[in-house]
Amino acid sequence: MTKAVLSVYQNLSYRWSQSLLLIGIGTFWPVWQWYFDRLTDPSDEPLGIVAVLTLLLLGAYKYQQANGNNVANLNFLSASNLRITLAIVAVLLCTYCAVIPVAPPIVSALLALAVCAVLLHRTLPVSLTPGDFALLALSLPVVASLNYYLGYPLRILACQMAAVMLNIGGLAVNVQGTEILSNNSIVGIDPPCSGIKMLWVALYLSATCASLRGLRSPQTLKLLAISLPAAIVANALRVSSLFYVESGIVPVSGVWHTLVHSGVGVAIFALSAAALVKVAYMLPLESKSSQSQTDKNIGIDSKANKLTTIASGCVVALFVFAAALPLAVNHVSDKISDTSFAGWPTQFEGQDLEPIKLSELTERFAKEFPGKIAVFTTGKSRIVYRWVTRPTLQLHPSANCYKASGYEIKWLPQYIDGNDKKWTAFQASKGAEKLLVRERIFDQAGHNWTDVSSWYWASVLKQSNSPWWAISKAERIE
Amino acid sequence: QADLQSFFKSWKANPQTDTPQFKHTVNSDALASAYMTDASLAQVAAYRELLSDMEQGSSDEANLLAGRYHLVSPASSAIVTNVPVVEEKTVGTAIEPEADTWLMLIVAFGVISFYVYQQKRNPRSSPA
Repeated sequence: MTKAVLSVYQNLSYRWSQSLLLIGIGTFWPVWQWYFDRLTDPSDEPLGIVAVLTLLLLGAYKYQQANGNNVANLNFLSASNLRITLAIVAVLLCTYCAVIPVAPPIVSALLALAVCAVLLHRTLPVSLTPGDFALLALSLPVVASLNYYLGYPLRILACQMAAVMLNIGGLAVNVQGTEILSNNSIVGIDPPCSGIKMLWVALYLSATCASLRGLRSPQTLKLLAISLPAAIVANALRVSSLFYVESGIVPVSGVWHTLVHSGVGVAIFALSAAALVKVAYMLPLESKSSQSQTDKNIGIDSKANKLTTIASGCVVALFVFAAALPLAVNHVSDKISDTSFAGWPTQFEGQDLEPIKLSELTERFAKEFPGKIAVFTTGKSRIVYRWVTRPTLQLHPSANCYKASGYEIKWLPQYIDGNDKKWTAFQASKGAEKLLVRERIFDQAGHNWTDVSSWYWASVLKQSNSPWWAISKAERIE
Repeated sequence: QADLQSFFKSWKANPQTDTPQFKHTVNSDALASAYMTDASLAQVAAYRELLSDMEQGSSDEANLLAGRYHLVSPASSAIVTNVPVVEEKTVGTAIEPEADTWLMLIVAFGVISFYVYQQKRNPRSSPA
């Protein structure tokens, strides 16, 4: 193969990839709209932006390094055969088209990002590594989903492991669900202690290290897999360390209390971060396929060129179809039949409830909600009822709503009412306004949950039957 | 046990002199509407109730009592009388939420920067 012929092929391949990338960016317009809304959603921390910025920084760093070392910096020259790229893009596009009417937006967004990443891999001047793909995935708003699906199991794990650590340390403790019982106190592992944030940062750290080192897929997957137990063990260690403080064994008071809490959390995370980075730098680098191998793959003749052109045409047609699909397909309605709805209660804790008209925003949310929402007042407090017949991510914690409205959240210990029902509780502050909010989910059989993740698992494991009610009470304390 | 229960049922001390601690008014159980100013006495009664519950196999009730009155189950230890003052109507305490995400991110950046720096200084040997 002469250099001239290879150059013609590479230019053609590069231009095709560039054109397809531009078409792809246009095709996924609904995804970008949703992605931007979620990245800037104040109810969640903007961690997705951190992942995107890291990706850009790493790209700039690698580009500089490649130039400095006089390494061939045109990645597309050594990229795989264009036909393989087209096949991958076609499969991803078909999956996107198949799932868009039924799957949650995060799945469509993941597929759209994967398509763009595959095309970027061929067009960018630096290679995209599996670590970069992982960072792209982490740029999606995954924390809410992680909290919903993994929050409760992680709390159980943290609780059990912390109890083992405390027992090894000579402290006789028992575990009841997500609570640790000691001599004279019960210490609860509440939803904000689940370790999800630590898990996200550990995954982010592993992805960044994998990208920096240019680890290949097996090593990157190994590193990401190690992040999960590393985060769980670190959180269990944090819980067991803080147990001594919370149970009064190690008395800490005043300003030191907050400092010790943060300090212990950060110090333990630093240990696990150092261990993860050490593992990342111990993993062997596999040699990349040589240029000659790639050259061998690029077998071009007139027949192959024709095939590539046809394949490219098919992919463009798929892109057009995928772009038009969101306009043509109505999303499967989440609305459910309300035949089993028995009506709203008229009293709350002995006080008469007076309905309040839903705000415009809540009204919009209620339209998409797979159940019913109503807001009441007792004169002193605001009561929000939500009624659902199936587990749904849309039954989010009310703390998210307060965060989105600009409130600062301070988690409080669980609250137990006069009927021995547990509530999750937090203080929401904005300026001079301070609200005490408590919330619980319950079913008609009397089961009670203080967070959405434990409720989700109870419903999945058939420990509770629909319908379910979520109630949150907010009262002004200042 | 019955004597203690009836004692607490009949004992309605002057609420104005009561301290806020353990001022639970639970309507459904045997200790209903008793204003308990003495934490130790309240614990004695609750512990007897807990034993009774455990004998009847009602471990949920026993655990609720243990939680409310800071008791442990008979399997582990005896009653601990020196209990800390707890806020009214809260269940024990909770482990503080995780460290701030931004703090953890700063730590992550720090650790990575250290390793990258080490690599640059000594490229042939891994800092690990």
